[in-house]
Amino acid sequence: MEDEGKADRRGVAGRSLRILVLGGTGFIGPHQVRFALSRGHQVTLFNRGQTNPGMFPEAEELRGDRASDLSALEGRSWDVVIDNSATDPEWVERSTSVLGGNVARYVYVSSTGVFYPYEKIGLNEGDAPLLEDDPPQDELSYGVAKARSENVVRMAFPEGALIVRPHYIVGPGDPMDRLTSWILRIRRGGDVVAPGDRSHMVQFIDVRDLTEWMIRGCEDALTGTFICSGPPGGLPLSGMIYGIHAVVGGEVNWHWIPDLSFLQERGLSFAVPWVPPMGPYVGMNRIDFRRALEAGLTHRSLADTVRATLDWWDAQPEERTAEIRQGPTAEVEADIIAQWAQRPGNDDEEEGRSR
Amino acid sequence: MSVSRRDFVRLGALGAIGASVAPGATLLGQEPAGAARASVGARAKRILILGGTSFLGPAQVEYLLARGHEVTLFNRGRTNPDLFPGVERLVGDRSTAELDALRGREWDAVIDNSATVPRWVRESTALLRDQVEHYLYVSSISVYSDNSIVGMSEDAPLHQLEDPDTEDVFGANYGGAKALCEEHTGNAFGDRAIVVRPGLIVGPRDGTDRFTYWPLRIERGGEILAPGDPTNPVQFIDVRDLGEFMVRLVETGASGVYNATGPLARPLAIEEMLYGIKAATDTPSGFTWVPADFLASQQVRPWQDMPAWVPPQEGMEGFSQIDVSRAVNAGMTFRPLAVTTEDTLAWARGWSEDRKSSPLRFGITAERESQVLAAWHAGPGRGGG
Repeated sequence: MEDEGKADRRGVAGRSLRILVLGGTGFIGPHQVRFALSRGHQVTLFNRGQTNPGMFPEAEELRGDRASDLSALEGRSWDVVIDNSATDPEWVERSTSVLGGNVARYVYVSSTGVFYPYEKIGLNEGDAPLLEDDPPQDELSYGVAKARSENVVRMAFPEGALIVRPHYIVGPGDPMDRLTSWILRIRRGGDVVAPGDRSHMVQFIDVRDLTEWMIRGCEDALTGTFICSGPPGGLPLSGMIYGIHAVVGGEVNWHWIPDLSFLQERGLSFAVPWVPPMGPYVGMNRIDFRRALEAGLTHRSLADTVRATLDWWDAQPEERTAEIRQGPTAEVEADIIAQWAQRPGNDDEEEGRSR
Repeated sequence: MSVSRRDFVRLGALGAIGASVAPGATLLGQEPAGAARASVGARAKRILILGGTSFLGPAQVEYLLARGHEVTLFNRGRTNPDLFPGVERLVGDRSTAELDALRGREWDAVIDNSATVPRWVRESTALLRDQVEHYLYVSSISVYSDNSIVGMSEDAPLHQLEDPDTEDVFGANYGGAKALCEEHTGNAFGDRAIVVRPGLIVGPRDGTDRFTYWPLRIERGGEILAPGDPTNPVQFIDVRDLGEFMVRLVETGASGVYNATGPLARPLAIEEMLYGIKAATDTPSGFTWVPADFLASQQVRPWQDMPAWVPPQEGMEGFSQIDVSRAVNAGMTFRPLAVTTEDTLAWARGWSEDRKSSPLRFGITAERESQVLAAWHAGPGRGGG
């Protein structure tokens, strides 16, 4: 049966699975569902029906609420459930207890946020996440909540848990405008602030690479814990922005500004996936995801990600594109460049020019 | 270290070598990007191409045809004779002054791709000056005699050929010969002369592998030897950007001299080039930057072994920092580097099995590259791989 599941990576899966998706209409869900349907699986969506209802006419939709009403799931069975929508461990308690006897495997979408603080370079699945906030907080911090949720899944599905820890998820549909904001800024061209050091590493994963790997993992009955990040081989910030520019083209001058406190004072502390590797973020963009690579995680080219993101963005309505949700405004950026140029003894170099 | 100017010239200066491509190379056949028909009001022109069948010529011809112009090719009929079956072909040989096929005909413009011997240009311009309105001569940035000058405009000093009658025009005489060809063009056509001086021309159909090395190497993945300082300048131009710019120059009846390289109005840092190429590939890869002096100690040659890279030192400071603002103002545009990379890779995937299994004509071998990387990592404080 395992061989059947692995039969064909591109076309229809060897065996059609009944897949329940909790959530499924946000960012990663639609990519998962689309790919699962294209592989011939039967998909059921469970959610409140508030986000994009009717998005997938081919998929069954069940209504309910993770927080209060799971009755629609009772007495039904699936081969596998994919849980995209839980950060609260109590939600996961409820869903695992309702589904425990009726579903063989439980795929939980966690996050590399479980590793906060990222105090070491090369964090991997062998590193234990914190399970308590120190000091305790009224509401669990994101990483702790995710780590506890993972454990709930492992307890409920000791033989059938697949825990996926994505790093920054980027690409078409990203509601956070993470890589998108970089792509749009570089497409606009002109004088662009390149913050920090060109060798600061960045990590991210295209939503399509992530979700396609997850569906293949369902087919292969993959279990265990996997960090999903990219790009393989590592990428410094310079490589990311130069790579984006090579795709969008146009005239651009880079203004590398290495002074992090100068940038921070002007509101530019980070621009995901760029996060300066300091303090609790030292290892954030240097996480080891070899285990997922060995388990078949593949990566599209950066050019593919950039083009798909722009195709999506350019098709969005004006109310979506009116404001970019990350990165300095044009005015702030221009001020940063002007003020940096006025500082005595700085070396605002424009790349490629030796003047 | 590095290449002296003479070494560099000897290495086969820009445009001087391998102008041909393997016979039978596939015609990509796609519509050139942005190949809108000539705008309303722009009359279709009759264009004569001298050469036209190896590398730059096809890029011009495809664009000319897409814009509705009438094209005539003049050449020996030996290189890629099956290209452009619908296009008029005249046969002759400039090396033996067989130009009769050109007599008694008229064209709006001629693009001369195929001449480095000054006599050839003297003869073709003398013959065509009364039959053709504009003469575009394809020269080279190799005409410049002092590559230490950063930001060379079209007025920078030129090589002079010691013996203006020499037909030994490759190697050390290349730049002087090209400069004299330019002079013949100007003498015959005056303000109807257009001279374009390309830098390194790259992209599909490039028979020299001078850029192709990098897309192929990066697509192969793994640890990649990257030369010098990441900020070292490089310049090159996609053959289609160049060909299309030339066509637009003859369409508008421009005149004068134009530096033509890219892929931006400013020089590119080699780090931008390598990561730009990488963006168009999906193989895991990483660059190890090895300084110029270490490369020299390992007999790794700039340009020849590390294509497109000439360290900006020892008289070569300005080699990759040519001022192209005149051409940009005259309408030269650039494809994104990812497009050049993808199209070059697609073209290389269509190579014959022979060509694929032969060593590249430029670029360090895989074996030597591993040796140099191993030697670099063995150095104190550099750690293993």
